[in-house]
Amino acid sequence: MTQQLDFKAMGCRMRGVIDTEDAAPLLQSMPARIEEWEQILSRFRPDSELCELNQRAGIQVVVSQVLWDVFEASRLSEAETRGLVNPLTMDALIHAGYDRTFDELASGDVDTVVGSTAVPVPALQDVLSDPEQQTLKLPLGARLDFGGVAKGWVAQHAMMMLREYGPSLFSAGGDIAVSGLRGDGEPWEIGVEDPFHPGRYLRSLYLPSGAVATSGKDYRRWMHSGSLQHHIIDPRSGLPAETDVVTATVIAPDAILAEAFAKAILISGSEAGLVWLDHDERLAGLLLLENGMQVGSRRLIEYV
Amino acid sequence: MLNKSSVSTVVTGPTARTLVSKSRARTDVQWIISSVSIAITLGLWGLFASDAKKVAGVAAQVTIAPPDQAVATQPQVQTLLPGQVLLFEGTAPQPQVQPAQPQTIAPAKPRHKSGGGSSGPAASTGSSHP
Repeated sequence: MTQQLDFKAMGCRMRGVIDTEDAAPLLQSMPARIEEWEQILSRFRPDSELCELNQRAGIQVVVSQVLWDVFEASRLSEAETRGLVNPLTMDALIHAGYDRTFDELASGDVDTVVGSTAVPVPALQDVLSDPEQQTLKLPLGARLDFGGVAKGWVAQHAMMMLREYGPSLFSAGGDIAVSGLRGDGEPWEIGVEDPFHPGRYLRSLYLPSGAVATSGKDYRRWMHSGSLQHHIIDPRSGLPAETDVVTATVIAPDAILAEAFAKAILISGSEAGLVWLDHDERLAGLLLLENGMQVGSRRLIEYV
Repeated sequence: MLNKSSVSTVVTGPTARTLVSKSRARTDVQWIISSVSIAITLGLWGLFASDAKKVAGVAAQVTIAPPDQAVATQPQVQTLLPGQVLLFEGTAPQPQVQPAQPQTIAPAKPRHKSGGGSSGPAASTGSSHP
């Protein structure tokens, strides 16, 4: 008997699913656990550990295990995506107008006193880290924002907690990790949302293991200085990415990689993105383009 | 006061002929010595100059004809390694990524039942939204 818990955290919807009968207490404990993680990782809470770290740029700071692990995940993402996923895009994001939670942005109260010039994005290698002391030292003027990497990490680690009790799935805002096949031996059915028709699915993917994540410029958009902005910053330009991809859905071995590659392929555009998906045997993907066309990578056939 | 013309007019007869003959013989000897000297000088010059020319020629050959250019003038069979580009002139062609052919996806068809007897997917993925 599948048990499921839906709740909201980190500014998005969360869903935990366990394919067993006696895991209700564990599911019920998940919101509190994720609240702990959010208190560490949120850039919207001034008293979060991340904000305190950002305020101490230039100083070596001892960080918690969670913050260290997510930083390592972001470093992995940066390396895997050749720098297209960079947790130091925060200033560029704020410059583009994403200077408050999306709920506040969506209310229409948007700051308009910002130029359209690019903000240079620092290199992640400029952050000095000491694994033994577990310390981080940000370069002056740099601030970390884990963004999607944090969601991928949360999905992966929440699923790893749930799987102790049985076949499980965890979704953090659409970043989904599964422990393996369901209790009946079948893969998990995952709906890929249609951004042009809310409430409908483009198609279903059948996930036997691993993870899937979607990155897009459909949600989290706002008008800023007379132009439509979105929250996917291209580190190469320091500006919101110019791409023909509306949403990129990527299947990968874990949710951190799935999230990272979804964002990287969205930034890259459909042509380079498909080449990337086809050349990396760990990946499969489905792209929705601005012209409405759905395009899949070669290995996507294994999941449909 | 005597001048040269007045002296020459004084010496006449056999004595004068003898003096002229000696003068001619001395001049001949001088010519012979000069000719021999010039011949020896030119001979030695030619000898050493030809050696120097040989050295300079070798040096010039080394400078003008480097080994790789010699390879170009004498074609040899080359085994190209994978990815190696053989250039004849101009700049190297820039690598171009051939875009994969877009694979348009057919309409979705359910192939499995959802878990737990419920209808619809276990979860959905989309651009993260509130």
